[in-house]
Amino acid sequence: MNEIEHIQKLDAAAGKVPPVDVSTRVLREIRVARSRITDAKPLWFAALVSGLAAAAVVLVAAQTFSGLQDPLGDLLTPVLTAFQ
Amino acid sequence: MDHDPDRADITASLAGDGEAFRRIVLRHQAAIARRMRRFGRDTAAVEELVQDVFVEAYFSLRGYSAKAPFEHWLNVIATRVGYGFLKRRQKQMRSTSHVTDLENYSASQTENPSEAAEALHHVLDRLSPRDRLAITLLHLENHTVAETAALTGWSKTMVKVQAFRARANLRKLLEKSS
Repeated sequence: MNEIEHIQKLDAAAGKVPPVDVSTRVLREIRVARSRITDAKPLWFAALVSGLAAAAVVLVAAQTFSGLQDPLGDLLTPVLTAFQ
Repeated sequence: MDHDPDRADITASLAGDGEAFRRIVLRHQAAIARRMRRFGRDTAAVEELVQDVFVEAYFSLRGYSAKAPFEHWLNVIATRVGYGFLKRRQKQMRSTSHVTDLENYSASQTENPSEAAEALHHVLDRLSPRDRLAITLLHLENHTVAETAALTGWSKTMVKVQAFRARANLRKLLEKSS
């Protein structure tokens, strides 16, 4: 008996699998997984909002910083032009 | 001409009808359980695998293009779930060094179905997941090379190479034990 016949014989002797009914378990598992996805949504939303807020803060800071440079630039311009 | 009950239930499931998906499970669970028996050792493990197949199928349902029969599509998922189970199981077995003597198991001593199932899993557990998948699909489920390639996502050449290696490893294993 070769190796394939050996395992085929064991497989045949192992008989049939007893009837299973997992339908209720499957639907419950799907419900749980879906609610997990729904619960996770606000977290994504919160992360998105905080990311946008952080980006806005950086933009405002950059604008403010560049605005602070302007007066200095304006003050220096007449001085520099006077020397020319 | 469209009398395919799966197609109608798939459409209803996608529209949120849970009972339609229950009908799909009821229609296919026996066939999937027969397939998963070759991966899971006991009834509880088989049930768990069957459940995993249908849960994965549910969340992939939008990807079903209806080009092939639904059961073929389901079988691809079942093969993937079974293969994933084998890989996880092999890791566990390595970490717990699950080794017992093969001599206790021989085909001639296995008149009892549960003993035969135990012996079969005992032999197959010693193969790598890839070897085991090749042996299972080609020699226990009698799929052709082309069908095995479609189920596993391997090329036909890869299936042939894997089958050759798997068979050699199985032979070595059985020679060692005899």
